[in-house]
Amino acid sequence: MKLCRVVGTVWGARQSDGLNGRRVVEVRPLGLGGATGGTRFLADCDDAHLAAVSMLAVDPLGADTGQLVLVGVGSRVRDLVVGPEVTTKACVIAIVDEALVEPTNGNG
Amino acid sequence: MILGRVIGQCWAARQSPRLDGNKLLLVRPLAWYDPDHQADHLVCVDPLGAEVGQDVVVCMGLPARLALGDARHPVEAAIAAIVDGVEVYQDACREPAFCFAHDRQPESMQER
Amino acid sequence: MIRGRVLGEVWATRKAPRLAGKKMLLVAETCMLPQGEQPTGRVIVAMDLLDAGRGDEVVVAFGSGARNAEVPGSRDVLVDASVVQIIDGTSTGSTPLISS
Repeated sequence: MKLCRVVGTVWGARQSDGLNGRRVVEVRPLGLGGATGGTRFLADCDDAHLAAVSMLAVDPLGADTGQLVLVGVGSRVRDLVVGPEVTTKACVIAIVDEALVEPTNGNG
Repeated sequence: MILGRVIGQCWAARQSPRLDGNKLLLVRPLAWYDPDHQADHLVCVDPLGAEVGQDVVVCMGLPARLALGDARHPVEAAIAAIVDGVEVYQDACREPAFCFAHDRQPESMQER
Repeated sequence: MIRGRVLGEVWATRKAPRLAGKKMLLVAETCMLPQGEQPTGRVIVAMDLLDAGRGDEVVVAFGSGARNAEVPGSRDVLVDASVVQIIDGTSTGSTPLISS
């Protein structure tokens, strides 16, 4: 599972039957490299925390652009969250309110 | 699936019995996607009879195991097609990052 | 799934029987960064069941998602990447960035 921020939505009328009008969002994973203990991630966090890549996920929850989400990758997740016939392996499985890197001795 | 060029062959005297009778080819990817390992080659089983120097389409994972008939083979990459031609739309690849490195162009690439 | 741009087509006469009659596209992966759509440098071969054309922006699915595009639920399909949607538009919030 990856913590990501929704950066946009994608739509298109010509699609495979398995997608069947589902909402597709573009997400950028959080890169935790620069995070220190106590760093708090909220919706609309600094762009600098995001990895310089993006991926697409089917979104059954209706996440808005800017929100933090949890993206599950894999066919097991897909089967449970949106159904076995859907043509994706990545799905939004939670809309995250807040993520906190626990402070530890030394880097807190 | 990825595009690659056959650059050689592997032989093994002792191998899993499920590999017996299958040719193992060494393939250099022309355009690599999503590597879990950063090696610059793949060893692929070859159910089609590709030859060194030919460009091929390689499929990975479960479909690669199926290329030998069923899913019970210790295989993660298989030759799925031997390329006759690659046509690249000139206007779609103006940006350099869309292009193949000059030493990795498909042999039969044509621009249109 | 990834977003990509159709770069071209791949032709093959000698291919696995299960691939017979299928169109293969060369797709360059792109991603959406604040400075706009950027190519990542990865180029893949994807099966095309939607008849995508020159320069189209597409959504490509991998693995079991790609197989579902051909035969839902099937394990017996020789495909590990498929075009599953042709992108008409994208947005960030309510402002469309690209629309055609």
